[in-house]
Amino acid sequence: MVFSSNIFLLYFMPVFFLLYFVMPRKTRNYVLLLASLIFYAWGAPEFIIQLVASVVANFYLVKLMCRSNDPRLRKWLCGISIFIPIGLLLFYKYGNFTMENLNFFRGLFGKAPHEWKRILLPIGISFFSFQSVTYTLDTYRGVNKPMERLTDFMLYITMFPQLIAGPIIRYCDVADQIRSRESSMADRLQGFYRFVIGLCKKILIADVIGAEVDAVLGPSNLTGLGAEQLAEIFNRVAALDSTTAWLVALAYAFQIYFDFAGYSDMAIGLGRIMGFKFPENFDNPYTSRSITEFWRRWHMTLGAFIMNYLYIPLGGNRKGKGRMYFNLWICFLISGLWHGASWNFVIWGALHGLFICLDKLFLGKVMKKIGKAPSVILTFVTVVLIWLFFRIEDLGLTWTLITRMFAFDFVAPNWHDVIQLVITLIVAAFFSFITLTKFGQRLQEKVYFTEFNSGQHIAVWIVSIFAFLFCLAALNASGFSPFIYFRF
Amino acid sequence: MKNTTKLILFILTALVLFLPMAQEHFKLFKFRSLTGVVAEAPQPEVTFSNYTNRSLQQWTESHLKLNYGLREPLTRFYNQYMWDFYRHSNLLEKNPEKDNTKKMYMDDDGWLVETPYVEEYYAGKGRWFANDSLGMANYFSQEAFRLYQLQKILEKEGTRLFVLLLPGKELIYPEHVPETDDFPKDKVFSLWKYYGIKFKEMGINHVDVGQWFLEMKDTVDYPLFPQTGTHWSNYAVLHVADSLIRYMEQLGDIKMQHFTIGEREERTVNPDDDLEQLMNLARPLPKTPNYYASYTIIEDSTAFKPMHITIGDSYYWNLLNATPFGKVMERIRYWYYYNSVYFDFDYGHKNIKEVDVMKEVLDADFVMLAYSTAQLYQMSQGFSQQLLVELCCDEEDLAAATQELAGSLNISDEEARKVVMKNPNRYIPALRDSIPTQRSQKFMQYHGIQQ
Repeated sequence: MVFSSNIFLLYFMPVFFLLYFVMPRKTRNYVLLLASLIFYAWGAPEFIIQLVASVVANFYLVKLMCRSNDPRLRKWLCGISIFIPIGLLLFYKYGNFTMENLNFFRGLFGKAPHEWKRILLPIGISFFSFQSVTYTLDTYRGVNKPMERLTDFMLYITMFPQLIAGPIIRYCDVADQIRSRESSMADRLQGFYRFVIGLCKKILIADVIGAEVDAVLGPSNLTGLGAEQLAEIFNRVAALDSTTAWLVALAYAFQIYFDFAGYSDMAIGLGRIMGFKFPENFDNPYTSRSITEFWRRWHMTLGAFIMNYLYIPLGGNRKGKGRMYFNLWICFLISGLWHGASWNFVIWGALHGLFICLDKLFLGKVMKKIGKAPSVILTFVTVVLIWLFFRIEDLGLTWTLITRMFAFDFVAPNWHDVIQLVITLIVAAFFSFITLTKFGQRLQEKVYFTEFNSGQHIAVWIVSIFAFLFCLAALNASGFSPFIYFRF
Repeated sequence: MKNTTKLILFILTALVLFLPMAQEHFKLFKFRSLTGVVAEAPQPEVTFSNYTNRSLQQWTESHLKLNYGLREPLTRFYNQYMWDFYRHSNLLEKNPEKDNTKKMYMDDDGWLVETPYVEEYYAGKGRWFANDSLGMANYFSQEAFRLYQLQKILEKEGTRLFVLLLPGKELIYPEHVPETDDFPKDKVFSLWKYYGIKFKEMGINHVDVGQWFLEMKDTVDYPLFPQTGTHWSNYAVLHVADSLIRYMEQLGDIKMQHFTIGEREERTVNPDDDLEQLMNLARPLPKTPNYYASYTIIEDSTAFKPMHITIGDSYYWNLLNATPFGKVMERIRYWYYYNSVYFDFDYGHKNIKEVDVMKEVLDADFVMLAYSTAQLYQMSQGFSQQLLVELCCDEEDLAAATQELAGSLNISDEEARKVVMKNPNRYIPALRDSIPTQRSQKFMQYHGIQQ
């Protein structure tokens, strides 16, 4: 189930919140757990048993680990507990990728390819696997005590607001809230407002832009398309004028931001209605002055995970500069591969890793010197170009698009055809860059982080209800589109 | 006090969240329903396998999309927003995921034109034969030839057959056909012109409504086609009804009932805004007013009320609904696209396959084929072939022609029969005469003649 679906908006959400709030406080976690399992089972029926089994196994392995006084046994149990979610992630996410590459190399040596049945990817596996790892490692490191009750641990992993696409919540950040939390009326209302903001980002911006991107670039996953369809996409991209090529590239940059940030807003909002304080996942990433800063603002919970559970354990910057660059590269390569099992994601990660290293070497200083506006623009353009590797599976097609962007054959578009796209892009750009101004920062502070008084509540509530109904209308007037980050 | 406000807002939020669900199940409010038809997939059985293969989930989502409570007002509101801000309508836009979503075009003056008529304007159905003038002549002249044969045969039986050559919006108002690259602009042949000339040459009874409209276009007080509708306007069709009654009187040498036109009113109602209705907007589009008038049938006990059959496209609906045309008939039948059957109340037939076509035609006083420009390429839609065979051939004639063709082309009897039925004049010798003299046993039986 996804947040921007009718079944969620019209049935699941109202019924769940009704039950949640009418039930006694003590039983609310059970209501939430049951709802979360139904939420997952609706969208991924074949994986629900496996999800539950792996969570149960991890819970008892960690419990056993904590009870043991033998350091070697503790290490072993910790390793097994990490291996279960990561092993499942490797199998489901990289099984097809491994076989494709294996067969490619077999082909080079004239050997027949291995036959295999394509493996389906359980939705959200990248996210709940990582959360499982944070629980094991934080407990192993003594950052927090293990959960007393299996249901609490299961709730931490499967809680529906963040089950599918994060934010990746560290166990230590949410453990106390699972045991006990308060949700005031203000939290409930502001959680709802935040949910609606996310819904608007997804439906009114990301989906509108996404339809135009798909119309040019075809589906993001080209596997399964016939030769004729692929040739059609290639020919279409090769024939683009530079204006359209740039519009497509910009459109995708805004699509992925508003899609993912929208999802995170919805998750944070839903959590807040119940009294959870989930960490923020985005902090105006397109206002960054360098790629390093971009990664401090984009998908912040993934950045924190990689920092805490990969970069620092690899040695971080403690083992010399050479090792630091190597560690950074590894982290970004893995981050790329985490996003998707294909070479375009690896290249996307590698390019980000490269720019982060360049920032540390000299680029960061250059960006500081050239001033705020030029550095923001240069960083944004770099990010836009690197996003193309993320969006397009075929590297040849990415290259074709980039060559069209820099062919400098700009032509005025047919405004009637692109008016909605252009207006939506302007709105997206406005909200992406507004925090570069003091007014924008104040606005963000007001909307996201300030407690409203009664008058403000009434005004924001009216706007939210109107926006919610408008999103419902837009959702059903156009085609259905799941979130981009679902497939990661 | 502050908490009371928040509590009230929280309760109101819950009510709003439950409102679509409540509306879906209990229909709390009555909304203006949306126009148009959406084919909904049948609900899959609620089984474990349908759940695991996700067909149940997919159906639920698509079902809710079409049936959620508040759908009508929210869809209209959203469509209005898309229209006001972007001049976009699903019916005007091409959706890359779904073919055939583009139903109409709009010019700069806000005139809506349906796709087939824009296509007819630029390309024309005759383009199929653009490089094969002989093929073109054969294809359409055979239809004209069959109509001629039928006209002559039926005349002797007291049934008058005639054709209405109806204009499309593109013929009368080409200035409102918008510029588009969606169709090849290679129109070299107008079927409307072709049939007009051919029917005149062959002496086939017909009324060229297109020509008549073109002649009066600049002198009429109201548009002959409404700005936001696809068919002839209410104003135009009242003129047509009057003229048609006079034409039938002349053709059948009979006297029929006439009507007088009363008070007129300026407004626009369905179906003069049928294309606009499909846009499902919240507010009506600005448009030039149309003409509506009451009518009174002049009672005349000496007038003859004929039995009338119409075969054709949807233009007939206006003639029937906006004028007294149907009311001055003893009985009407409407064989819509020679497929669906309307007004066959005596028998409750739904499809033409259930109808004894020959008997119905021989019982009737008039048979009218009425096709507009964009539909002329499929004139009669198999009616002329079927009736000709039923009137003049027996099963043995058909079987002999079928077998001969199957043998010579090495195809199955079934395929051969289809080919023969498409062009029976070519394959059945008895039908090659300009006026076939042979009659079928079925025809004899109709007249109670034993062979």
